[in-house]
Amino acid sequence: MMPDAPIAGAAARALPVVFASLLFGGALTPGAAQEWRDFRTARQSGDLEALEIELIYAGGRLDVSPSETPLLYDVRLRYDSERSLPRRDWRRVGRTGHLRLTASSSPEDGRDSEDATWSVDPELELEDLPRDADAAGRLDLSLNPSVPTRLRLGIGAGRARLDLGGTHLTELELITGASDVEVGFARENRAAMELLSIKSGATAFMAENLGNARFRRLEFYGLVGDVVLDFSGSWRSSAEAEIRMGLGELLMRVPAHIGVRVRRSGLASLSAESFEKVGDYWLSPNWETARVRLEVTLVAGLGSVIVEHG
Amino acid sequence: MRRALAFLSCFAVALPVGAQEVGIAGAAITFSAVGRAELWFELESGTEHRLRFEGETVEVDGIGIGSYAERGGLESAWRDFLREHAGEDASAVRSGLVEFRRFLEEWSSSAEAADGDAARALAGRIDAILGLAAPAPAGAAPALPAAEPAPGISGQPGPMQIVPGGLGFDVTGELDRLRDALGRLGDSGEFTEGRLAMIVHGDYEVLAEATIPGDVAILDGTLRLDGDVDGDILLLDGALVLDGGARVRGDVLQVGGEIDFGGDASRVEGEILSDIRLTPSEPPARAAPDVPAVQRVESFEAPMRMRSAQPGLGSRIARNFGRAAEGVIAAGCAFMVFAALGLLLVYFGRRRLETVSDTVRLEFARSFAMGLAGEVLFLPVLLVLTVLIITIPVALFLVPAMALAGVFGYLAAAHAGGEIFARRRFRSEWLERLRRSNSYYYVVSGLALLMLPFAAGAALWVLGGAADFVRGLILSVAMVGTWIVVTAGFGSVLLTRGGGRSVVIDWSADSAPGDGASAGAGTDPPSTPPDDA
Repeated sequence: MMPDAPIAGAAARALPVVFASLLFGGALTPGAAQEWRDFRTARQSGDLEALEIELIYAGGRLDVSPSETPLLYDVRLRYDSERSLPRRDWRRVGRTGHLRLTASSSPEDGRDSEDATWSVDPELELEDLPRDADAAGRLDLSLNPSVPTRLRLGIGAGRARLDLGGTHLTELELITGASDVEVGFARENRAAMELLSIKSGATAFMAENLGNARFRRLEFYGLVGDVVLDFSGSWRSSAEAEIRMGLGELLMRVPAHIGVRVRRSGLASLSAESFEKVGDYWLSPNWETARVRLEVTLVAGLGSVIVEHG
Repeated sequence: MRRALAFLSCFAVALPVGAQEVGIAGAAITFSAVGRAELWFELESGTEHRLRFEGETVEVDGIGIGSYAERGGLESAWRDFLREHAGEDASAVRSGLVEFRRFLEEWSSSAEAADGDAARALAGRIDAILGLAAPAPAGAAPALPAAEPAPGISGQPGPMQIVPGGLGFDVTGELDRLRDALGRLGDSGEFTEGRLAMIVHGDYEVLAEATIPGDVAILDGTLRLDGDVDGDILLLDGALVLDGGARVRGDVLQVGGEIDFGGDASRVEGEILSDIRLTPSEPPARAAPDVPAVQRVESFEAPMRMRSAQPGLGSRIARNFGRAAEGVIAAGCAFMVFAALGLLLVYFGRRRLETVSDTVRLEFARSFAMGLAGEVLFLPVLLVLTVLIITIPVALFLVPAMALAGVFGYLAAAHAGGEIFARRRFRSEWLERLRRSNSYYYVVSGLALLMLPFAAGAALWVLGGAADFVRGLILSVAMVGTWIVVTAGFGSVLLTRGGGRSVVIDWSADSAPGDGASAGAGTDPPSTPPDDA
């Protein structure tokens, strides 16, 4: 669950980092010579039955897609060795593989790679993200569509395109700093997803066909930026969404056959044509009759929220 | 994968079996004043080789293969051979080399151990280079009979037999590079000795249905694999080509060279791990996401209709305002924290604070010089205290003490700044209202002055990239100014021993007759504000 005051909390956590960067001149570090390298790690699925991936990427271009080969995963990274330092850790616990890859400016960025508890269940936070982006760097991650996968992505800056349609995600946790992020489920996820968690700093964020993600719970936490959440897709069951926005615009597109109920708080304006306000809730016309429902808890600070139904 | 390191620390030799004998097209013999005795020659195939005795090391093609005793039997025989054939034509040099190789074989069995190893290694290399049929090296572990070629393993131009345990290439010089690469790749494999099967130092081909029973290291050349490798493959340089029948039971680690998986990386049962430097001429593939992205998108049942990822004007404005707000709030938070500390300091240690503050204000150059000296000497002193073991507790005390002194000095400098501000007369009536004269106001107003540039610089984010230069300039000035203030404050803390004594010189007393050079030292500084609360 998100804290009650997410914006203030995030600000309290992130501002010391910003101040430290200002104070110690991190933002003014002169550029160094470039030495480009290609890094790759890939592995067969073998007898593994599940996979957990944690990927921390400082910046550049990130692409995630389902694999067309039998590989369990395939990561290809192009990076400037004068600025970045990739590191991968692989562990196997029973029939579950754990891959952790950090591609950031130094081992101190992100979380400690020697942290023995990383595979247990630490929570990624915005301040964990590396802050030195490789603007021209690139990372491609291919996922095996047959192996249930829990994916956790931390993106510092840059652009990310996650084509997750046809993958086998049981959980997706996405943390983005200052990024332009596109997430799409063009095909149906092969597994029901218990939690789809997105924490976004200052970004232009777009998610399409979220109805194909088969999530049971969506948590979206946006600090600043323009956000589009498109809930199109082949819904199998009802779900709930908790959306918290700080400053910016949020556009929610929900298919007509989905019943929607929105509970709103905060200062942002809400535009939901054809919705009826009943008590604290905004209800779509088909809320009572719809087979599949989406229940939204919306907390928006400043800006505007538009809900398109149909 | 660390076993790859292990097998590279071993030795191996690749002996040609049934290969054609190779002639020498040209040769040169060199004796140097520093003890080098060298034979360079070029084979008819165009390949060049260099056999060198220097510094008690026998080198073949720049790689040490063993050591010899200076003025011992092996070196003497080598020099005799070179002198005998100096100036002769290439065919005579080849005949002499073959003869010398026979001598090595006979001599090595009776020579002392060190020279014997080098002699055997050198004989093996001469065999390999000249394509001479040779018996199995003495002391080698003949995993494969020397007289029979390894089934399915072929080299270019002739089939090559791999004999584990023999002497061939000392690749220990590669270990540091490998350790660096493996450590950076986060390799966590288990170390297993005795898995060496093959070191590739040339072109080889492993035919279908053949199996290399262990690990393979490729130093240079090409290994074309159509059979199995029952272990790991480490590619340092050269090339690895996996054909349709290839199967690697272990991992493939690449720190150089090129790998052609033939479009199917699943031929590797273990992990594929590579980290290679791109050639400088190759431009980094900036973005260019469309080609692979389009290919992947084609498989979608419903094509994605992503909008352009280029952020819109509203997004950019919102982001810029967000950055500005972050920076200003951060500066405000820092101001509040320091202000709280400063107010507490005034309340509990006002006399000390004022003493340090007056020292900053009236003896700024001296304070700055002292602070600079303290900063420069901090690390050496800390190092000495740490090295002396017994003084480690002092070192542990020194670090927080220095940090506290820095904060104290910063607040005292802020106090001084506030006092200067308060003593100044302003034409503006509004600014005149801000003038206050007690230590609480001094600290708060001084801190505000020090934080203002940071907040102003951050606020310029609202103008986006247009104000990058100005923002950077302001932040640079703010940081340099902060460092100067901290240094001067720190120096004042040192000079006044934490505000316990005044060192401000009362210059007005200098004019008094009979007063010494230290006049004024120890007197109260003229800091008492007129309406101090």
